Amino acid sequence: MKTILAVDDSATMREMVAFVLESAGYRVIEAEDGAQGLDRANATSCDLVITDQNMPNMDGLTLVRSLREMRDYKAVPILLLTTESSDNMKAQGRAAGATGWLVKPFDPATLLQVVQKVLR
Amino acid sequence: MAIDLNRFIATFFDEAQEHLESIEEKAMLLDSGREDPEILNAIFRAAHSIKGGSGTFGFTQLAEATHVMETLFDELRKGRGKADKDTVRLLLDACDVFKAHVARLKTGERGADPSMDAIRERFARFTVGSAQSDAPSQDASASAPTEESFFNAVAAARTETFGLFDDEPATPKATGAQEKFGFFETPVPATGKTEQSSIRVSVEKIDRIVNLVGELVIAQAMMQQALGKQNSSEDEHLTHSLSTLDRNTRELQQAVMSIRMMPMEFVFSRFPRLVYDVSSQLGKKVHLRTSGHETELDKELIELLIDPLTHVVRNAIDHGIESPQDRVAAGKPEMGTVGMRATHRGGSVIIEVSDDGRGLDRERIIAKARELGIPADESMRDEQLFEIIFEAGFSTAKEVTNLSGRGVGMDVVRRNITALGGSVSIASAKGEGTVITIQLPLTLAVLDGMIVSVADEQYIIPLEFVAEAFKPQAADIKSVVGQASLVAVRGEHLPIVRLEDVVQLPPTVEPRPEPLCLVVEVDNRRAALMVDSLIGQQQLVVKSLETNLHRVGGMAGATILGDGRVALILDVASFTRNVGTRNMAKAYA
Repeated sequence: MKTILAVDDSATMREMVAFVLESAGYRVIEAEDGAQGLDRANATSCDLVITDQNMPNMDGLTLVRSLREMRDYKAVPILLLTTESSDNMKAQGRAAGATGWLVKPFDPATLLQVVQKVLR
Repeated sequence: MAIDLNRFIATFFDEAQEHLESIEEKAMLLDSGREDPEILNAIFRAAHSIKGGSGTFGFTQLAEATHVMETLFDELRKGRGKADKDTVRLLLDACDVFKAHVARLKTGERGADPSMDAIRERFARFTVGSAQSDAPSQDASASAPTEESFFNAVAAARTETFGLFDDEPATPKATGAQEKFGFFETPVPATGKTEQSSIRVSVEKIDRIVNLVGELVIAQAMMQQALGKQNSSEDEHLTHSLSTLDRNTRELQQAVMSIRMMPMEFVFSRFPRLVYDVSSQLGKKVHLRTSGHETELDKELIELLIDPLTHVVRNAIDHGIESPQDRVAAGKPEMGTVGMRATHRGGSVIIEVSDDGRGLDRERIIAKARELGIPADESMRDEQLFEIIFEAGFSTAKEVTNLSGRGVGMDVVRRNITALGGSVSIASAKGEGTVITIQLPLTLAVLDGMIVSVADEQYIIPLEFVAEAFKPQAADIKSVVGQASLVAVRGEHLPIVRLEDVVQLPPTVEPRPEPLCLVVEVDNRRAALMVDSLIGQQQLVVKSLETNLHRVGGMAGATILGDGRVALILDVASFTRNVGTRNMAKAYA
């Protein structure tokens, strides 16, 4: 079973992501902010990380950069959840090392579509 | 995959509530002049988070309004403009409107809410008028989404929503909508609420367990009593099992009661806003200091405590704290302090509300007391004199304000607290301040009671009101024509209250045993309650009369005794209030 780390400081978002992905047969680990996400990523090996951008205690971009410095996470796909799809956001996301981005709010089918695509 | 988003709505409502409380708290920090960029960031993130969630569930008005709020704070946190008093006012007003709106949404109301449009307008004007005019920025539109693009984005985001950096050119959705904004996001410091080690349970479920455990305790007591009548020492095994059952039942009861306990945080958290509103209305500067947030108290008491405490705090600001000019003239710091402190002491919770204001004014109390026909003079000690404040109709406020003088005086505060089985006292020093101390039991569901009897009836007196018991000598009892008889207790004369009169038993002709007197004291008023005999003391499960039957005058509730009989719990305050004498011994102590 593939393990997905979902990092978001909004409980609503975490619950939604976890519900959608667990319903599709994935195992989901949750973290409330970047710092906790880094801890969780360290403790468990994940096949995919989905992280929010704007969070207290380490934002999403910093988390992506930190993960990319870890040996185990050099090649693990990382998706950024974002409220905007501006060029600026994309440039920052790409520079940090993220694999892709997903605009919120998203519908469950889209989330699943992206996840399946990057995990394939 | 069809997923009903509604299953997450409850989480969103809780989260929105937390965010709004956090915004409120941060707004007041802003007002206190703290220049911490993290405050602006936190407000921005909270607004952003609510916006995101609202969008997900289609709460358009909330999404729109939090969007303009977010925009304003994005500007402020980037140093374009400065948050001032008006910003704080707008923020607090917005929190009120948003809270009311969320409450509407919770009930399923989805119609347009005009107050939301109004507050959105205020934010929109504010962004332009105040923050940006201070330091107009060229690139404001680049960093903050404009109204227009934002609302289009809601629709756009649904159709074109993701991309992978590897296959950027081939990404299916790269269209003009690209420049616009997607919707959801999140922030705000997570609270303990989301800890994995906790679950949410409805209060009804807990109350049902509390109730069942209460029944269990009663059944257990009945069993013990029934077995006690037989020669139980015959069966050592049974005796042992029974004492194990007794211990486990009590532990279970305590454990269940602890579920109902809530930290004082729930009470304290609403006061910063109250203090802010009241003090700014009165043109005073007040700092609120709270401590003992983690002190736990039964949920029911927590809820009933809010009104009396609100009144006491309003009083402290209105009557206690002086105007900034007066304070400076008196050599005090311009900003007054109101303190709220909660601690556990024995089986009680003590809540102190203190202020460093002008203190109680003896002369004014004496003058007002005389006006009301309450005996008072300069020779009275502070403790005695200040007790007068708790008399009905007493208020030294020169004029009725819409803050403190809402027809509710300290007498009502005391009555409310007494009804909860607690007490209120006051201490004050002129020019230095006042401390109101409220003592409450930890819970209303169980109480330690003294079982007494008169004729063949048994009644319960809450143990906390019983000061002592004694057998009066005939010589100590004095009958005064036209007044209740008195009994002398170590030089003090207490009015005698006969239990049979309180419970209105028909007069009997049978000879009665020699009576016993219990000295009962509530709110500093003492009386001697005359009963036939004392049966013993016991921890009792309180059953509400109102819930199960109807209110009975003079009774605070009922319980079921070990022998299965129902016994009424006396409302001691109801008779000490009328006949009790003030505890002079204490006043002069």
